[in-house]
Formats: sequence, structure tokens, C-alpha cells
Amino acid sequence: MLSYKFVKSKFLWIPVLVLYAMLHLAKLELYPLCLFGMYSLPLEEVVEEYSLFIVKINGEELDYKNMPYKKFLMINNTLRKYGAMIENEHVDPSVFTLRKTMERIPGSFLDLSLEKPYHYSDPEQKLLDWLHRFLDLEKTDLITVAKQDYILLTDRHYSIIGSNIIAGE
Amino acid sequence: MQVNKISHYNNYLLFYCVVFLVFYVFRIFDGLTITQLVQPCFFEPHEDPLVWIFIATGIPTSVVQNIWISLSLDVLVPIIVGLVLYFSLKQKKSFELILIHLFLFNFYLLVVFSYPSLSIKKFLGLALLPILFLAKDKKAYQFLFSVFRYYVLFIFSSSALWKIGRGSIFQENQFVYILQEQHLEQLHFFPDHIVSTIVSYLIAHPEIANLLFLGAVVLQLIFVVGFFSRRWDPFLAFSLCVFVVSDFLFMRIEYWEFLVFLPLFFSLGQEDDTFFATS
Repeated sequence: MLSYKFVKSKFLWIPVLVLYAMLHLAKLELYPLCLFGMYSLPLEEVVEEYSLFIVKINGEELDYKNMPYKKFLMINNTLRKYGAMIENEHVDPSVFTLRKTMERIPGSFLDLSLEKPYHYSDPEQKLLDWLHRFLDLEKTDLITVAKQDYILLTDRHYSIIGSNIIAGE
Repeated sequence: MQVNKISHYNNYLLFYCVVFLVFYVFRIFDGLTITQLVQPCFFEPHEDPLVWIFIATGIPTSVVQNIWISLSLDVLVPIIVGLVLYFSLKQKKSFELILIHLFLFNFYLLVVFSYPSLSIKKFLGLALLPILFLAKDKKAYQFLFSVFRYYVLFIFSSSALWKIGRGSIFQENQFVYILQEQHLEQLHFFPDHIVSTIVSYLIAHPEIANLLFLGAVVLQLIFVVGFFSRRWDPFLAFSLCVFVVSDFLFMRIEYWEFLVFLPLFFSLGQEDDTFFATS
């Protein structure tokens, strides 16, 4: 299917390599031309205050130990996303990333249409409905999501300094 | 078209299909096929303009909201790989199926990647290697084989160069800060897990954490030698395995799928001349 003449063609590789180099300069990804600079930004401070999202079902905390770890990640990533949305007056932070990145692309005119999908109507209800489906719960089961703030006292000890319910009754 | 001898091409294709299907089974058990995501509620576009455009077209929404489309994708993807495996065992070529798999699986990944699921990077091997199996003749296969080998070398060496270029390698206690940021939830929700034990120890012993971070960067940087010689390839294959295992133990990031790249570090061998079939 792919002949030697085709795969060795300069006209195939030069544009790909030039595009990849430009993406590196702009610190952008364009799947499958990914950047591999994970954990390369210097961090200068130890995390002393942090937040976790606690899901309760009918008053009992959801125990993630009984589910596959990747399922936990899916839930946690979604909750983080929702938490960030709450902090930004219901605007998905992806919008800011998108705007910031679009500034680096000259002649960009797509911003508004690209932003559209991230303006959700009633994100709280969307989140609760999805949690019901994903955790395979009955409609009568009550879910609450709380954002708990912690302060680190020593390396392994922490103390709760606040807790707010951000979704559910 | 039939190959007259089990070739490197065939062995690698078999290896790819088996690895793909094994990870697909894991994916089902993890509950992360498109159907099992049960219409995720928020998008996660990352910093990838292609994903933004993909989301803006409304395609991911249409896929996840239609049970028949998502189920068809979930079923078709492994079936096609199963068929490629079958033809490969029969030593028959299946270019058309491999091409369909290439497009279908990359589409599948883009749909999943549009939501806050997992990093798409870990799937790069499974997503891109089918291009190698589209090679029509021996020379094309050898050339693409080298391209993919250089690509893996690039992944690791560029990762090291990013850390050097951006200066994180020179930052004191960098790994301790990374571990704390990465593992907040891990330490809280899974305190008894082996990763939590290791991470707690490293946070309490920053001098060891610093050494490990330096070691990780050196391990990645070692891949640069592969650009100049193939002599160190077995060692690079070993380093790839060390990296994947360490990434799990220290970061709980699962890059097991990268093991599909391993055969790229083993010589094409004496079968060079009998790769492809006589028709």
C-alpha cells in the first residue's frame, strides 16, 4: 500500500518536520504531533494549601478503592473541571486556555465558534446526571459533591480548613 | 498475497495485534470504552487546536450521545484488529483492514480524548504503528521501521531536553514538588497503595527524590545515542522498560502501552531478505 518511493519522499517529510518544529516553537500540540515536555516547568513552592473533591452518595463518602483506578481518574478529572468552572463564575477554564493559545496563532478568527461548546447550561445538573450514570446509581440516590480545602502541617499531616458543597443538595 | 516465511513484519504485526487486544480488554475492565463513559458531561480540549476543532464540529457529542454509534465503535475497533490478527496468523496481507483500523482507532481516541479521560500520548504507539504495517515492500518497511525508531528516540530525548531547557532539572526539590502536586488525591484516597508508600518516603527524603529526578532525565537523555548508533539498542529497550515501570511506581502514570515500541529496538535480523511475499 505504501511504496518505498512514497514513504521516502521529501515532499512528505519536510512539511511534517517543519510543522512539528513550528509547533515546538509555539509550544502547541496538534495530534499526533505531540510535545513531550511534561513536568518540565520549574515548580518553586511546596503545596501547602490544596483542595480535594469528595463525593457522597446518600450521605456516605464514595470509596474509590472498590473501583478501577482509571475510573477514579475519570471522575476526579471531571470534578476538578467542574470545581475550576465554579471558581470562574461558571466559565470553563478551557476557554481561557483556548483564548491564550489563539493569541499565538496569527490570523485566528475561529475563537468564538471554538469557545461555544464550553458554555454549558446548568453544569451542576449535568454533573449530577453523569455521576448517576457513571456510578450506575438509582435515580433516587442522592449525590453531593463537596470541595474540601486542606492545609499541610507536616510532610504527612494535614488539617481541613473548609468544606463547601458545590453540587447536589 | 502470501508470505513464504514468517517475517519480521508478520511477527511485529502479530505482536501489535496481541498487545492491542490485551490493552483493549483492560480498557473494558477499567470501564473506559466510549459506551462505558455514558455520555460524559464536560469537554477537556487540552492544548490541542485539532481537538478544539474536533469538539466544535459536534462530532464527539454526536458519538457519545448515540448509543448505537458508540457501541458500534467499541465493537468494531477490536473486531478489526482481531481480523488483522487472523489474517496475519494465516500469513495473508490485510492492508485494507489495517488502513481502516488506523483511521477508526485514531478517530476513537480523538472522541475519548475530547473528555477528561486519559492522556492520548500513552496510546501513540497503538495509534500510529499501523502506518508501519501499511508498507508495501521490504524497503518501505525498513524505512518506516527506522522512522518509528527515531520517533521513539525523539520522544524520550525531547522530554529530557524540555526539562533541561526549561530549567526544571536545575530546580532544587523539583521532584518533591511534582510528587506533591501529582499525588494529592493518591495520598488521600489510596493511602495504603504501594505508590503512596513510595511517594511519602520520597517526599520525606528530598535528597533521594532529587537523585531520582536527575536519574530520570539522564535515562531519557540516553536515548540520544540511538540517533548515532544501533549498537546500544538492547540497552535502550531495557531503558524503555525501566522508564515505563518507574513511571508507574513513582508517578502512577501508566505508559504500559509504550511497550508496543519495544521491537523497534531489535534488529531486523537475517530475515531482511524475506520480509515480503512473493505473490
